[in-house]
Parts: sequence; structure tokens; C-alpha cells
Amino acid sequence: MRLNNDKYQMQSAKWSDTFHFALCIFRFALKTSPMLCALFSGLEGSLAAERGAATAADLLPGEFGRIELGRRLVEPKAFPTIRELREAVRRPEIRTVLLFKLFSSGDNQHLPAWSGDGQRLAFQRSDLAGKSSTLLVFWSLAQPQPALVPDRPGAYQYMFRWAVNGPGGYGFVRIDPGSASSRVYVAADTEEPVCKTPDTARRELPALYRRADGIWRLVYREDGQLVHQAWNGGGPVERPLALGRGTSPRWSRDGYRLLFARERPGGGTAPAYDVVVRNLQTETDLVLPCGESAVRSPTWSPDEKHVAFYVRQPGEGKPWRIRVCPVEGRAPAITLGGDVVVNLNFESGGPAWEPSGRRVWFFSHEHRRQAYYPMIAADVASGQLAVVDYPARSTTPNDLAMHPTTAVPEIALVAHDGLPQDLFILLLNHY
Amino acid sequence: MFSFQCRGCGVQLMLEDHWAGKQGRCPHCRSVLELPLIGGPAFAAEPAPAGQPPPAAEPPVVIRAAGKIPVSPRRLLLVMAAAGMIVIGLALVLAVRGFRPAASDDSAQAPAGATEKGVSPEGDREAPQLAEGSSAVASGPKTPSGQPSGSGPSAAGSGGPSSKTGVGPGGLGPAAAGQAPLGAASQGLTGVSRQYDDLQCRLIQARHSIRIPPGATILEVDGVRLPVLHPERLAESPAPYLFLPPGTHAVSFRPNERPVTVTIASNLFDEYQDMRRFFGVGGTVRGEELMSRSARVMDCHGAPFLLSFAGSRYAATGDWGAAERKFRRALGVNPAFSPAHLNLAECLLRTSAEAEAAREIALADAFNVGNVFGLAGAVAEFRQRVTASTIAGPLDAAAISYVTTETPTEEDRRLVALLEGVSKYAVRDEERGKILNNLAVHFADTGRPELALYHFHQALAALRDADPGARYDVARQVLVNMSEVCRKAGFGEAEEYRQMSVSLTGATQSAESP
Repeated sequence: MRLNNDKYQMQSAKWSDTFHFALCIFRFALKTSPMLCALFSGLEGSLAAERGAATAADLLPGEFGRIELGRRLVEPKAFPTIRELREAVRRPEIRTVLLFKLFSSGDNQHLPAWSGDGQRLAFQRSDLAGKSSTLLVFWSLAQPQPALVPDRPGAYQYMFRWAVNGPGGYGFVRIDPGSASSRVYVAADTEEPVCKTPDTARRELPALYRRADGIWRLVYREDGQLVHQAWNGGGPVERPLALGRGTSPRWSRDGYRLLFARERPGGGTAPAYDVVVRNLQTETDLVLPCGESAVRSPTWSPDEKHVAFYVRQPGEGKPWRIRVCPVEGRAPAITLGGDVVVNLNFESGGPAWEPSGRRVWFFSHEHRRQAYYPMIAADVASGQLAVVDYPARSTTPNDLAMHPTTAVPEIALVAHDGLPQDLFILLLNHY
Repeated sequence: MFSFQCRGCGVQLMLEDHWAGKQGRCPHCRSVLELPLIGGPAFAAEPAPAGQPPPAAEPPVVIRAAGKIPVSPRRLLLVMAAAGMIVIGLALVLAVRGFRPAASDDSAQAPAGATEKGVSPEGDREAPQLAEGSSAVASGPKTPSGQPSGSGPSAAGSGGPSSKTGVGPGGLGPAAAGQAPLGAASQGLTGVSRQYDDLQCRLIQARHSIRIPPGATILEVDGVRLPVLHPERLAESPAPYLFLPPGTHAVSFRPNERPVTVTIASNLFDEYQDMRRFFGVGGTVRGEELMSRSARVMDCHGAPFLLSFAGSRYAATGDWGAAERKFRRALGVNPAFSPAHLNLAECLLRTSAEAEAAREIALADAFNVGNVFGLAGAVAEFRQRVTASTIAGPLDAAAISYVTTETPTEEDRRLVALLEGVSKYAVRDEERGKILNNLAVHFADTGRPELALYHFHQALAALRDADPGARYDVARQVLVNMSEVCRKAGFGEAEEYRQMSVSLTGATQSAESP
């Protein structure tokens, strides 16, 4: 033991001397600077060149190595080279190219939502300590941290929805502390949100549309009724109009059709719904077939030729599935299997369509391996399900949002990488 | 100093007075901010006519916040070490060469080392005269008649000196040898004015046009619908402005919606003619003036005028390939720019691509609203050069791409989607520039120079917003790569990009100076 200790002391002394000697040389070098500094920098340069030469074999002529995305990469650990990416896009099976963490704060993040142009990403954060909820927005995806949607301390802000046809516009619902009522707020880009429903009532699920002539149209649920408002910079252009009992309204891109779940008469406290497309010009409803199932959250396909929504057979413990109905033509409706992982309050923008409208993507409870839920891409024409692997480090995933324009899957999802639920971006090699 | 609250993250920024009225990025959330004039109106940029959005101002520059920025001790140590090295290096340089004041402008407008001395009276003496009858290609309002002779010396391959400055070890290869300089200045671009620079061009564009919004499904001016389908695709370009003649106009972008009223105060035709005269388009083209303006904005334009003039300049030398690429780039910036459509038609007619030429002529006619460019006569003459059957029906903007004539494969599309997709998340602009450069390198490596150049330009556009300390080094490497791609492909622009890369050397020194 003593021998070891002496040996350690001798080694320490040796290292200390070496360090001291190196320090002296460095000081001397600084004093006799210009020439030695040039020599030193030259040496450093040659070392750097040597380090670069080690990776140069992997790089194409003119390619930059060592790219720092400024995000925490989950897989792979380093930004891929062009050669690696070429290999990835050639592979026939759908595989992960890059998974990185976009945001974590120690709280739980929920419900990522892309703007229509895919340039912005909003999500909800549960403040576990304050028992409140805030909304955050990446106005630019290059932002190191998201910006907070203006709120009041202690307020509960949720149900964020981007405006259709107005990429920077959005609406959301706020419950002020100590208040029983919820109000709809609307904002254009980074402007201060404006309350559009000042009086006391329970409002939720806003859907916002912006016309090219500057008129905004808003539909929201107010005590079970869908209500429509329209205004422009000069004030209201139409009186508020009740559209009937229903929920989950969604605008079409032309602003003349509204997709929503219409309440069946006599439903009582647990109402049943039909999925309908209302033509606001002709004031006619197209009822989509959904049988006796419970339905939730109807969503337009990107080309607006189909509608997808969550359905569940009556009865306890039945799994949620996705039903896809054509809005035009005579193609039959199809129900996709897979025991879909749904947002508990159906506040998400899902079901998540891929930009081509060919498939719907979701996480599934089927075939799960403990906390790892498989990602499923369901073909709406054939009903065929494809299981897509993603890095198993992110577990209990939820709230998946597909980027609306990127030609490969670019997916915002929330999942656990530790205790809190964080926001991730997953890029796959192809659709 | 004045304070300003970021609209993106709400942080109160303390800014130096010289930032008043400029545009920049918040150092915290990187939102683009338009900073108010001190004691003046909220926005400093020249006000757009009623009903129009304000034009984009100077390229955004990162604002240095007055507050503390968290720095890790390791980084602090590295910064101190680097600062020490720089001080020692500067002392050495000063001792050897004597003191010389550094250039003061470190913004993206500065790399060309331009001065405010005024217009170079001589212009580009080496640029050949436009051949008689090629005025249409020079994007003028005169009617075309006859063919350009094409007898002028080509910009490439005439045996001029070449510099190897700026070619890094990671470049595509050695600098091109044996290429003639395009302008008079081969080392830097000094002595040229800033008149009609990109900012001024953007203001001119905004004054005489209305921006096509993303949701546009029709283009209707004063009750007359333009024969263009899917105009929303036009809105995807960087500057989708529809030019209008003087007066008050009612413009509709969607059926059954109220038209937008827009008033154009002055005549674009006159201003456009002045620009043409200034750059010598239709005569002795001032290539140095054109290139210096491109270099200042790292060849990323917000208006199509200068690119179209540059195309005319290449056409005047008989380099129709380079001319076509410039006209395509002009239309990539603003696909509603009528003169570039007509010029592109001329290029296409020379390659016997008559159907495409007919489409371009029809587009030139469609976007020459109220003969705003004075091109009605030229369009009529061009129509006579193509068979009538090739011009029929409305034009589908969704089917038009001005990026390239090269066809990408499915794997290319995936690679583009992946790298463009992931580049959005890069926190630092120089890293985004590197990612997009690497995408371009893929196309260069697989022998698709036009696609490579398109993505190199995207990389440069990302680098324009980067921190000056890192911007120029990366941009110079990108330009070296571009020059090398052009050289290998036999494109006339090789020397142009080489000169731009050389001009950035001075900018790097300027940015690094204390």
C-alpha cells in the first residue's frame, strides 16, 4: 500500500515537473512571440490538417465536415456525411436518418403542430409546478429556444391552432386563473393575441381561416354550439352566427367548406357524433359514414379528397382505430387497424397525414415492447400497415405531427428520454 | 443606446444608436426584427404604396445584445487564447507593413469592398458591344429584329490570369487557369457605386408591384384575369411581385373575395429604362458594376433586374448558355418578371426549344400587365417567330421550374428533402450554409452542375444572415466550389464566382479587424 502511495507521489511529482516545464516553454514562446507564435500556429495548422485528413476520406471534394446543428443528436451521434446519406436514401426499407431533441425544459411537452407552410412549430408545455399550461412557438426552426405565446401568470393556455391560409396566424384557448370561463384568443404572426370572445362562456377548439382580402374567419365551440365570427382590420364584417351543435371544426383551404363532428339529436350528456362536411355557400351537409362508432377529431387529407378521424366501437376497452372516408367519388370508406395511441382529450391535430395523402401515420399499442410503441404508416388505399422503427431511446411516444411539405418524413413527436416528456424531430430516409 | 423589446421572445434588447431603422435578428430567439427609428416612425424602410407589404430591407444582421450572454469557462478560455493570438498576429502585421485602417462596414453588403465614390465613368471597357438587333435579349422595351451576331469574345477561355487565392484544401480542385477576368478588377471590386444595388432594386420592385400572397388561386387586375393557373406556386419564389402600371388598381387573388386596392405612383417603364442606361444594357454593359452588386449580396438577389441584365451581358458575348442560366435565375427570384421571360424565350429559340419558348413568350405577355415594361411590340414580334399552334390555353405555373434543365432522380429528391429539411434546424446560419453546400457538392460530384449551382446559391443565401466572423470563410469556400463546378462544366460564370471569392478575402479581414 505504502509502495503504491510512494509510486503515486513520484508520478505526481514527475507530472508536476513536466507540466511546469511545459508552462515555462509556453511563456518563453509568448515572450519571443512573433516567430515562435507563427511556428506554433503552423504546427497547430498541420495537426488540424492531419485531423481533417483522417475524415477527408469520408468527405466528397468541397464537402464540409463536422457540422454542428446546435441540437442534441440522439441518433446518429454525429451529423451524417453525404456518402452516408446517399446510402440511407438508397435503402428500400424506411429507416431513421436523424433523431434529435428539439426542446426539453424539465416539464412535459405536448401536441406539436406545424404551420401550414411547415416553417413554424408550436406546442404546449405543462408547467408541473405551477399547474398551468403555456404555449410555445418556434417562429423559425433555427431558434435555439422557442418563444412563449404571451400569457397571464397562472393562466392555462391550450388548444393551439394555426390559421388555414395564413401561415403566421393562430388561435388558442385561455382559462384565466380563478375563472370558470375559457376564451378564444387570436393573433397574426408575432402580434399580441387579441381576445375574440370577451364575455363569460366555455369556448374551445378554435379553427381560424385567413382570406386573401384580409378577412379573418373563426369557428369555435361555445357550450356545445359551433359559432362563426368574421372580421378584418376595420372590425366585424359579419354578426356571430351559430352553425349548430358540434365539435372539432376544421376549415378547407378555399374557406368555403367546414369539416366537423355534428352532434346527433337526443345525445344527452354523452352525445354521439356524425362527421360532416358543410358547404357554406350552398349550406348543405355531406354526412360521412361512420356507423354507430364513437368518432373524434376529423381531419382533411392534404388534397382534401379524404377525411380521416378516430373511431371506436361502443363498449369498454375497445381500441381506437382510424377511419378514412372519401369526400368526392364513390370509393368505399376504410377502417385502419392498429390500436391507435390517441391524445386523451383529442386536442391534437391528428390523425396525421403524410403530404402526398397516401398514408396516415400514428403510434400503436399493438406489438409494443414495453414503453416502446411502434410507429405505423397505414396506406389509405389498401389498409396495409407498415411498422417503422425509430431509435428506442425515445419511449412512450405520443402526439405525432407530420411536416406538411417535406418530401421525406419529418416528424415532430413527444416522447420520454428520462422523466419529462420532451419534443423530438425524427427524419426518415423516404416515404 | 436605445431599448427595444423583441416581438419573438419578449426580451428587452439594449442597442447602439446605429441600429435604429435597420433590420436584424434577436440574439435570443433569432426572430427577424425591424428596429424603429429613434424618435421617428416605427419602420425605417421606405414606405410601400397603400395595399402593399413593405419591401424587405437590408439583409438581417445579428444584433449584439447589451445584456450578458452565458459563456462556458472552456469557451471563455478558448476565446481569450484566440484573442491573444490575434493580438500577437496583428502586432506582427503592423510591425512588418505599417498601420492601415480597416474597412468599417462589416455587414453583408460589404464584401466587395465597395466605396461611395460614385459611378465608374468608364464602365466595363472589356465588355463587347451588343450586336445590332440583339436589343430584345438585353431586356429592353424595343422590338427585336434580327439576330445577335455572337461574335464577341466569350468570357471564358481567353487566356487571362487566374488567382489561386481563396481555394481551400477542401475545395473541388485547383482554381481554374487560363480564364479571362470578367471585369477590370481581378483582385477585389473597388471603385464602383452602390446605385441600383440589390436593396434599391428591391425597393423599386416593391414600389411598382403587388406581392402575390400564398393563398392566391387567381390573378385578376381591374377585372381582367391573367391566363395563369396555380398562381400560388408563384408565391413560393423569394420575390413574387406582380408589376403594375401607374394608377389605382383592383387586384383579386381569390374568386368571390374583395379585390385589394393598390396605387402605383410612378412609371416603372421610365425607371427601368434608367437602370438599363446606367448598366449600359443594349450597348457596352458595365460588367464590373453588375458583378460588384452581386458580390455585395453574395449573389443572392431579392429582385430580378440585375440577374436579367447579367444574362443580357452574357448574351452580348455570345455565351447563350450562361445567359439562359442567368435569365432562369432571374425568374427563380420573381417568376412574374416579364423581360426575363422574353429573354429566356430568345435563348430557347436558339436551341430550337420552340414549345418552351412559346410558353415563355406567353408568360412575358401575361405579366406585362398594361404594357408596364413596354414589351407589347417585342412580344408581338416574338410570337411571329414561333408557330401559332404552340401557344394555346392558360399557363400552368405549377408545371414551370426555372431551377435547372437537369432532371433529379428519386434518390436526389430524397437527399434534397433530407438536407433542406434538417438545415432549417441549424441554430447557426453558417452551419446551415455548410449543410446546403454539402447538398450542392452531391450534385457536383454526380455531374449535375446546374443543380449544384442552385444549391450553392441556397447555401450563400443562408450565409448572408450568418455572423460576420464565420460568414466569409464559409462563403468563400462555397464560391470556390461554384467556380470549380463551372470550370469543369465549361460554364462562363467560373471566373465570375472566382472573382467573388477573391473579393470576400478583404471582407474576412474587415470582419476580423477589431
